[in-house]
Amino acid sequence: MPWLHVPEALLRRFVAGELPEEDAITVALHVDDCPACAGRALAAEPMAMAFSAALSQDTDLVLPPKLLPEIRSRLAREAAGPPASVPALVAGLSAAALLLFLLLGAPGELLAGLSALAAASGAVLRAVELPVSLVTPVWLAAAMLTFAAAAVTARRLELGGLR
Amino acid sequence: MAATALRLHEPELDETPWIDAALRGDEQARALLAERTSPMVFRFAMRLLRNEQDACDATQETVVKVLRNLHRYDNRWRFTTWVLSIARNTCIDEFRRRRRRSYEEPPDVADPGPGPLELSDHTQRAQTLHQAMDKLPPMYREVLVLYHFEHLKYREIADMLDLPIGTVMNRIFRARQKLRTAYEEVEAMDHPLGAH
Repeated sequence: MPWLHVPEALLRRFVAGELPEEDAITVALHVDDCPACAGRALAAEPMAMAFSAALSQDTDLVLPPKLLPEIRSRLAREAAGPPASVPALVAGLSAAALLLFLLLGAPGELLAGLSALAAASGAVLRAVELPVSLVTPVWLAAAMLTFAAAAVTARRLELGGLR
Repeated sequence: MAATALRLHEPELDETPWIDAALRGDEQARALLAERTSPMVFRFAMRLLRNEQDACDATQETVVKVLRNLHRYDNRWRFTTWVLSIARNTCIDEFRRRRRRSYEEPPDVADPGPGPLELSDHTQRAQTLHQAMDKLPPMYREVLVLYHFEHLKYREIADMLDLPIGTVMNRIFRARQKLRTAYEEVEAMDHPLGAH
């Protein structure tokens, strides 16, 4: 690179995209680190006046007043951990499932397995911090599947004469 | 020239002490980082998305992601560049959501504002530029915003987009060409007889 700053003619060809790629990269890397040449390159751009006008107008782009308080309250919610309704939902559904099995007189192994499954999935939900709006359908689906699986198991146990 | 004065010389705030404090769990530092990054992210999102509600959603999402992933910040990047790369990804998600939404709702047309006769040259030029940028595909609008508005270096844009620097430069050149064409089209629509 035989120059301290990019010569004017070379800079103009660079801005117009007329340089071979290797030369353009050399100029670009210099422009990255040389504010003087970066300024000259911008000034040589045919749309310089329009960019400059748009930039000065952009100072009007201020944050809407409601946004920062919204962000603050969301951060506070995140810092406080997942919403209380999530563990409550998990506990409620697990209790409902257990109660159903107690009433149906399911075997002890099945009850123990189900409790472990409920506890593990509760922990996973807390760890991934799913929003309640997502958790609710997920848990409803999981509870329905559990009930269906339990009904099938109970039916098989009955048919097998194990009860 | 005004463009020269606007380039690259804005003092860079050193966020390092606040990042360190936030990583240690200092809530005040987290709040301060949110306060400092939000205006920059909002401006960037507005330039890309051109819709205030979408830009607000993207800003909120970005700031939360920034603070949630602060432990992943690599200080070889400028903090602002790292934040903008998260904002960019969030805006891309917002674009996708908008595309899905556009099947159900009428397109969200930016307010054209007052007519050309009511505007000063300067304001009109800015408005024409924004309208021309709206006509560009997101891929081109993005590089112009990063280079001309956010003042990122070629190298930083290449890192952010995970592209070779030559590709970034070509994309910027092509984006400028397309912008010039779009600008002339908008001007011709505003001044059908060529009057200024």
